[in-house]
Amino acid sequence: MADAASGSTDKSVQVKLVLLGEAAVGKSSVVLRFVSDEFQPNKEPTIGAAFLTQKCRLEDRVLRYEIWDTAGQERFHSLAPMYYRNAQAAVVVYDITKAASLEKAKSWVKELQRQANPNIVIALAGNKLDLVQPSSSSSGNASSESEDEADDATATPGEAPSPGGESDSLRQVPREEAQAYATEAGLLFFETSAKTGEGIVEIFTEIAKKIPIEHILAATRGGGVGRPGAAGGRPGNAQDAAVNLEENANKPKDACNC
Amino acid sequence: MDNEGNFDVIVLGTGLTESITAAALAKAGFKVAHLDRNDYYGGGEASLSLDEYINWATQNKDSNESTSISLSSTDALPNSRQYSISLSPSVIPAAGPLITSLVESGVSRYGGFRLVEYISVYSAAENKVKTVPGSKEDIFKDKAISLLDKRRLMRFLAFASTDVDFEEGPELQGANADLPFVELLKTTFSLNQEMAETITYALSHCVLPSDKALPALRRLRRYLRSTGRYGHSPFLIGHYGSSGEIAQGFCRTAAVAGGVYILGKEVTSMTRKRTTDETQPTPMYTLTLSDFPEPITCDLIISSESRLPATSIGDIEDVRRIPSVFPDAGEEAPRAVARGICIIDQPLSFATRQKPSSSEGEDHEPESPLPVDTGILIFPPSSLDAGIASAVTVLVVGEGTLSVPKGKWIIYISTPLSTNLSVSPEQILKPYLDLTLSFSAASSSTEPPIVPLLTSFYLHTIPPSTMPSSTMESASSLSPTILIPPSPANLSLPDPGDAAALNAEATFWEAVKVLQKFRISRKKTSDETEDEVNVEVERFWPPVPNEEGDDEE
Repeated sequence: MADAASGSTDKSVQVKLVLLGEAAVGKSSVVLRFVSDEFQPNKEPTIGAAFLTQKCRLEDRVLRYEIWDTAGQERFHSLAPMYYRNAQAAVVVYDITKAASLEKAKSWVKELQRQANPNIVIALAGNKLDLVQPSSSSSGNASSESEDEADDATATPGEAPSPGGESDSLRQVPREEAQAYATEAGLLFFETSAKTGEGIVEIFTEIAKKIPIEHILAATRGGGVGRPGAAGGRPGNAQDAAVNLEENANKPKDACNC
Repeated sequence: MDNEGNFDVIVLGTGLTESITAAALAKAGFKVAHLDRNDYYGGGEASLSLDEYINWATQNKDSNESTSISLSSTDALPNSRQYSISLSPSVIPAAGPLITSLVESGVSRYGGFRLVEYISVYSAAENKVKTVPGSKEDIFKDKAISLLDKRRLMRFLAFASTDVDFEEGPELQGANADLPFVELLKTTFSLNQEMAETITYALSHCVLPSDKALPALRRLRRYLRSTGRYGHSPFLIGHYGSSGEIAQGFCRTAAVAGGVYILGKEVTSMTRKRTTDETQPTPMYTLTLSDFPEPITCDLIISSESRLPATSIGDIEDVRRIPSVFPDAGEEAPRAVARGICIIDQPLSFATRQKPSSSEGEDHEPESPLPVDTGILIFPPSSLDAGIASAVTVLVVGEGTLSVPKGKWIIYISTPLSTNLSVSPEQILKPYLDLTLSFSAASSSTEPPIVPLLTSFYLHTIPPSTMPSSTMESASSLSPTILIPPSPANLSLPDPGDAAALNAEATFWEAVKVLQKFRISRKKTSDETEDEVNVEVERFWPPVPNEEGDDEE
């Protein structure tokens, strides 16, 4: 694995980050921007489109984000508890050109507070900033990043992107309003554009600063195996009991599929 | 025309078998909708939070008097969400079809697993728990076994792990073929009573003294081959309640491959197209759901029998039951299991630590009880004077399984019921639970026994067939449009997951056959492009791509 070569595995901390937000606000695009911008493609192996991984350097620490997309399971309120389990961070995305998407974001924040770790770090991201910036939205092709939804599962057909416009007139959520809500709810807040990249890296860096790394490290050390799902303070002898199924995957395969 | 509500296949129920099937079909490129009337995943194999469990048991109690639940006080059990209580607890053999499916589908990366630390057996003669040696080295080191017995044991284990068909060898010829397993061990392999019982119940998971040798040997062989794959123990257990969490993992994989998930909705109607002409472009079935705006359609329905809307089972020629392909499930498999769940806040102990310091010398050093995080304890039949005739299985899970908060343990206790008993699950299991609770890690007799924080019992029934039994035979409809996977029969503790994986694969291939037929016949009549028609399916799990940089397009 790539990070073994970087020689910093001892300081690399895995952080499970979940994405939430209404369909077509650009959840996947925010992540893809982050993942491809910071890092050359094809470096980190990921699993299908199931989750993406990306490292984030922070002073002497390296965080390895394991970023989970909803895979569309949020559409009919069918997200599994597994999705929230051991998530140390969440990015809740809304579309600044759709007021309703902020309301939806608020309900996701509530859901996180109900379902997830009590000390999860939550960032609120008002996406599609490019649509309200005159410089970038004058062309007819102003569909912003909703077209970039690479994950079929989350791309919602029929949900037309906001039409291109001149300027701030498209904005439906004032920055101040969202900022005030975020402050009140104790969330990090950013306005972003997955299309131009504005604000994207900042989200992940600020989350990284807020994550209680020492705490996670301590928990992971106790547990041995470096999956975020496995972090959580194990009893002493559990160390050798946590199992990575891939490790021996080539050994006796289905010895008795009779 | 590719409407959002049109699917190739609708899967009803999110039990493990259905979830694995849905994931494989979605990965093979079919449009899958996966529904469950519950608002949680896993059906009868779900992992529930403590509050969810209490709700479930309370609701069950109203409709079924065999369910009972008693809580010491709700204050004693905060952090409901930190519990994952399995409605159908099981362990997973380290080398079997479920682990293969988990690895090959990539679902293993969603979840964590740990080894089961202890396999132990209760000895009525000595009123104590004995740990079953996990490996050949352990047997060699075990001072309680005489040299002669060790040799006999080794001879038997070599036989049990052979590649040759057991029926071929002389051991199972003639009268031996019909001997109960425990008797065969005593006569043919000259094992003493205690060893024979330990092998029969704790290793082979037999239930009755009359259980036959051949299925028991085949089970044992599977478990023996699992030993050493990931470590000491043949068995793994998934974090967060195992099968319920694993089902969620397969569902997520299905969703990532484009599957649509709708939970908490009842199917209110299901109508079938009049004609059986597959060349018609209209879909076979239209389903309406409670509180759901649009009807959804599909050509094929896969449903556990209990989930299929009763009104829809009219056309028998549409239905194909997939026969179970899991070996040795036992023909006269009982239809019900008595189950108990108990939460405690002090550890149990199934083993004692022998002071490691002094070398091979005498073992009269003081023994200190080792707390159990995860372990299996078997009560052989008739362990208790007034007990039942079948073996009772206990599974203890602690914090290491991430299914309880620190300092709490769940005890799952169960026994299969072959006949309708007039006694309640509580009456059957309570004495065994009490005995289990006496094996406290605190151990000194002055300590008070462990007081449970929650105790609950229920009867887990395998729903009886709602279809005329004649369909069992005629279940080979030539062009089925409803597939019914085998229901999770009540298998021994290590088997439900492997059975689900094998049966899901069988269901998957049946479904592919049906769906291909629809595609090919429609191709002739419609102007769909080649791409839409051609779904080539070569494997149950296509290779998981290793590098996914192409996502960024």
